[in-house]
Amino acid sequence: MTARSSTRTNSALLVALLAAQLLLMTLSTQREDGANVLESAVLRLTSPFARLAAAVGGGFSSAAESVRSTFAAKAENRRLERELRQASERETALREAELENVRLRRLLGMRQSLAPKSIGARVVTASLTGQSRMMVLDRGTADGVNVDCGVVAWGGAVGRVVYADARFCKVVLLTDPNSGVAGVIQRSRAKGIVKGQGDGPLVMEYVSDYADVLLGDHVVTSGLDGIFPPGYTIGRVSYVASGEDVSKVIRILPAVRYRDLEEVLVLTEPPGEGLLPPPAVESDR
Amino acid sequence: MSVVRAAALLLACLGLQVGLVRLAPTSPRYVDFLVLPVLWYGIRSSQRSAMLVGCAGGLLRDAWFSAGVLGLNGFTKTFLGWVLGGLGARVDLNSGGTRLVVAAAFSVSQSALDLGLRRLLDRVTTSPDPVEWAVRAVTAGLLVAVGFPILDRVMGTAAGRSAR
Repeated sequence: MTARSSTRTNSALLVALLAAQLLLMTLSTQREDGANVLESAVLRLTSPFARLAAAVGGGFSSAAESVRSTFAAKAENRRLERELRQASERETALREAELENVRLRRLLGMRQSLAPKSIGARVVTASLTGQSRMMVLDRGTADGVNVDCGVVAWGGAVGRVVYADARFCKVVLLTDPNSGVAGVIQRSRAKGIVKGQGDGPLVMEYVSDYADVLLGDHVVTSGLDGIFPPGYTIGRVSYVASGEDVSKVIRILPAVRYRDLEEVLVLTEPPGEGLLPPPAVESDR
Repeated sequence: MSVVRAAALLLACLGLQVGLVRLAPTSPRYVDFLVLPVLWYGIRSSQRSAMLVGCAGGLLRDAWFSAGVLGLNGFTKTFLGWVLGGLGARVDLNSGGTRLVVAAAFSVSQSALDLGLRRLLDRVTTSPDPVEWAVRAVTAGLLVAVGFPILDRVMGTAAGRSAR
């Protein structure tokens, strides 16, 4: 009797939990506030642990780099082993700072030349699976980051903000299967839509079969999507062929190495160029 | 189920997952630390605990490692927690070899459910990668092999299987 009532209770709980998750999925795909509030609460509540873990992980990463450097130094000169170990610890910290300096300087240079209204952000965590490619950044609405802001890095376009909390934002990368960006072949100005394929290369669709596209052509953002300003590198054409319909089949190798990203720039103001003006409201008279 | 212990276990797994990403950025593809609490509660505790931990763990995974669809991972982990808890109440899943098989089966089922739900939601998906699924299943088995003895020490016998 007890076991039967327990089974019944568990089944009811299962149905309730699954229904709640289904509702969440529906709300989140429609970008409704309910899902955002819950997501924001989960992120805020757990962010101290995640930040701590990210810092510890970063420390281990630096330590691993340090150990590697020390062993290389040992092989070269065993006599200076002790001094080298001490030096390598200091060096690791300096090297990290130097590399960061170089990256930030590059970003600053790009920011001055291409993205005047932008903000630097650090990658807190990322997921680079076949079905979903995203990253979480440590900037949010409090810093001027909003949904649909473009994200760029040294090398070119990275992705688009799909969720923004006060302190965090989530970015869907160009390689995500549900991602799309307006692109143009830099040499011939043939326009199309660049879509992600998860692990595979990017694909460029809706390019006329008569368009002039060659292997190795650079593909840049066209600015027509209203997310990226024109001119950010997307990648290089690695395959081009005539398609079955009137479009060419174009594959693109992305310019940005997503797995190496640590800092990025978020474009806090979407470009106005290329957008159609809103339709004028016709008067009844 | 002690709520505090379950929350601590979930947060520890989240921490491990985030920390691992800093060391190996592609790790979430092959390793999901948040399956460990569901497997632990499913095998060692009650069906209800497994469902609730699955729901919370899935939500954490969705919030930190997924963009676009909140609740997808929670759905799969809740459902599989229910299946595992129900199975655990009828069959002894607690031996070493069985646990490995269960963990691998859990991982593969989770991948399949995730893909199916994405397609049902009309999301663009890529074709499943059998190697990725296999590696994920093996790492889930390894997680259980390494994680259960540690959890036995940390969590003690408090999570002993109950009639519920």
